[in-house]
Amino acid sequence: MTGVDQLVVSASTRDAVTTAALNAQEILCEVGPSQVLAGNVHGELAGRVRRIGRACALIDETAPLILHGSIGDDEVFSYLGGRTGPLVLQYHNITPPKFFETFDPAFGRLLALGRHQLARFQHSVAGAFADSEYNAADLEALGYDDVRVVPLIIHTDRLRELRVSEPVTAHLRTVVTGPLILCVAQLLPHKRVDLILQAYHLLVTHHLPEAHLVIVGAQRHQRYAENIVALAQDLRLPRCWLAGEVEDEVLAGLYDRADVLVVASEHEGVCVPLVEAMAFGLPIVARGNAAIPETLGGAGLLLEGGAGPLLLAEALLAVLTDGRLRAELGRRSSDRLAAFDPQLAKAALLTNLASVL
Amino acid sequence: MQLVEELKRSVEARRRAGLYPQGLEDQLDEHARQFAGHRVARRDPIPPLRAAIDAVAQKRDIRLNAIASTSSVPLGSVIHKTAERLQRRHLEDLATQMEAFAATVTGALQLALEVLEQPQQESQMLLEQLDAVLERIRALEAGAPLGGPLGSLIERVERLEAAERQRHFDPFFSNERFEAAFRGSQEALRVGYADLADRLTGHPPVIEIGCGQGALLELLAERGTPARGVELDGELARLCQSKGLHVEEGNGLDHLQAQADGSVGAIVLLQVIEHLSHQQVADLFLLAHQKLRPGGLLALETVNPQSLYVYARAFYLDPTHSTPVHPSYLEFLAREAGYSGYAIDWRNPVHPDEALAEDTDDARKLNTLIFGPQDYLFFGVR
Repeated sequence: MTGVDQLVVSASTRDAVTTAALNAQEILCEVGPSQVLAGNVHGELAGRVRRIGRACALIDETAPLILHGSIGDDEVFSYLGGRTGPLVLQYHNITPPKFFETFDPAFGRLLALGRHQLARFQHSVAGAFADSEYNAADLEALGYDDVRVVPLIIHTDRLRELRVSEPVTAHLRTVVTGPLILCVAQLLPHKRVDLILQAYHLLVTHHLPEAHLVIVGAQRHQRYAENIVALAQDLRLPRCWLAGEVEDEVLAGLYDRADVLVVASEHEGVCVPLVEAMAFGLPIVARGNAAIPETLGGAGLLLEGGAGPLLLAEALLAVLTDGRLRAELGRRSSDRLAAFDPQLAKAALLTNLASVL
Repeated sequence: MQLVEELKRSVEARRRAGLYPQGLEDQLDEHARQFAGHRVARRDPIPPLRAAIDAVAQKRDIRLNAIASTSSVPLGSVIHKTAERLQRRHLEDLATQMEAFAATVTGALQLALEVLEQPQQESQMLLEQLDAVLERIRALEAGAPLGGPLGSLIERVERLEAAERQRHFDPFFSNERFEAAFRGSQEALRVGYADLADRLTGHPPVIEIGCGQGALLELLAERGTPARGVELDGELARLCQSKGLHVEEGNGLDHLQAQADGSVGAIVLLQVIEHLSHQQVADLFLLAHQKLRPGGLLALETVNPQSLYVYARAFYLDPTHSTPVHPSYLEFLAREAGYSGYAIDWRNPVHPDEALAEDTDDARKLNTLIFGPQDYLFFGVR
């Protein structure tokens, strides 16, 4: 096996797919020259990720290429059509368009296009990998055969080792005085942050008024984010902080300080925050949708996929008030982390690549 | 799993205990729905209006027997019933008229409701479309990379701008120092351009574009010929001004554009047009023709590209020289732009010591080709 390049549709910092590609690059570079290419590159990554089309002379189009499938893009797929090297698909899941049909139909169409484009590509790939059983099944539903599960390379050790800045720790020590619920999710409809706000509203209204809620995540869609902010304001939640996108140092500080991580998503291909929470031995409360049960693997307090705000609030109350339960969930989180060892994930990537190239 | 079942039972117990009121989840859902749309929902005025109109419609039956005939006064009910019998015909007629009026009013209100509803729906659609557009604009403003033709166009403009920036020449040395090193001393220039100054005395006012340190303007001033200069280099412009010359800093072509048509006696550019773009040279001929008075002169001195010696010595000495301009091309431009005549003076011959001894025809031919005059002065006559 010679050098292998990777292609993501849109490269941006603190994006799980881009991070996965950059992490994979570390191990691929040990085999041969390996570049990360992208259809779009956000400023900060300009030196690390090469934009296709702009510098074709610097890209070997006969080299093997891993396509990280996460959304549709005409430019990327027409570029792929012109390449001659073998292609491997690493599928991270494309959010089903139904979550955006009423809210942002144009974006929904882009997602539908992505699934359509991937389905058409099934005969052009030398191998198809998915980063969870759930994603493998989804890819097979698109017509792919022999999809192998190759886990995401997640470097929680790096997050764990970050030095949290003093102002952050001071804030978390002096201002956030009660129990802290953490939610790490981009403000997008399928993440169901609205449900978390409702559950938190019930919790502080009826049971634990001193509880804090911090919601961390990029506001990828401004209008939707405004709606969520309006909902939070209308519920009058003074201890709720919509933090937006934060530096990794701040995120590490929040994982370290939090008492529970809550996930209410209706759709997740893997759900990296669950793994990050495991690295901090953080108890988890989650609704069992898509790949969430698989990622949890027995860790966490897993509710039914359709659990409503009352049950979610009850679960949070139990975790925040029952020290033994909290300790047990924390231990299960820590135990589960071993399944996401980045060295094992890197080895799995190389082994599977070698078998298809 | 057991824990989850316990939690569910706990929720039900709280519900039974009245902690969670009946319909709480529906209320929460309804509340969240207000914010879940693309646009935060505002109170729709149509449903309460419809309810009010329905209420009017239900009350439009006017019944006479709804009027009570009972009375607490002795014989009161007899009097009421008698009065009713006496007035029944009038009352029934009145009731019929009132019912007709109520039906008309209700119909008019229904019509008004329909009229109100239609633009409400249309404006909602427009708002949704507006939201979609605003969201895209926000993405663009936030610096999201553009795809498609607009993206590649922006990339192209960026590349061109970068190339243009690379072309920009802003050296650490001054033009004055450069001229002193390579164009000869001011005194030498004064000697060289004395004949030109004499020739220009009959063509006031003179405008010199790119006047440098002002050698020609000084000669004209000494001859009492009204003249002014324009110089791109601020340092040189100020130097001229300090000598009492009428010189302004700026772009010569812009300055010329600002002059009244047919008002200028002569326009002079000495060693300038080889710095200009092809477009600027062509534009200059038309513009000068427009600004010169009939009989006025356009005088252009530049390096002579017909002399190969020039390329070994003068032309590439100045890094800002853009393109050598052939005299035949200037003649062509003069004809095309409508000048009535033109002439060429060959200037600055190569010193005979550097040229070949002209003792044979071949040596003379080579001298013409290799050691021709280094500059030429082109005159176009308006």
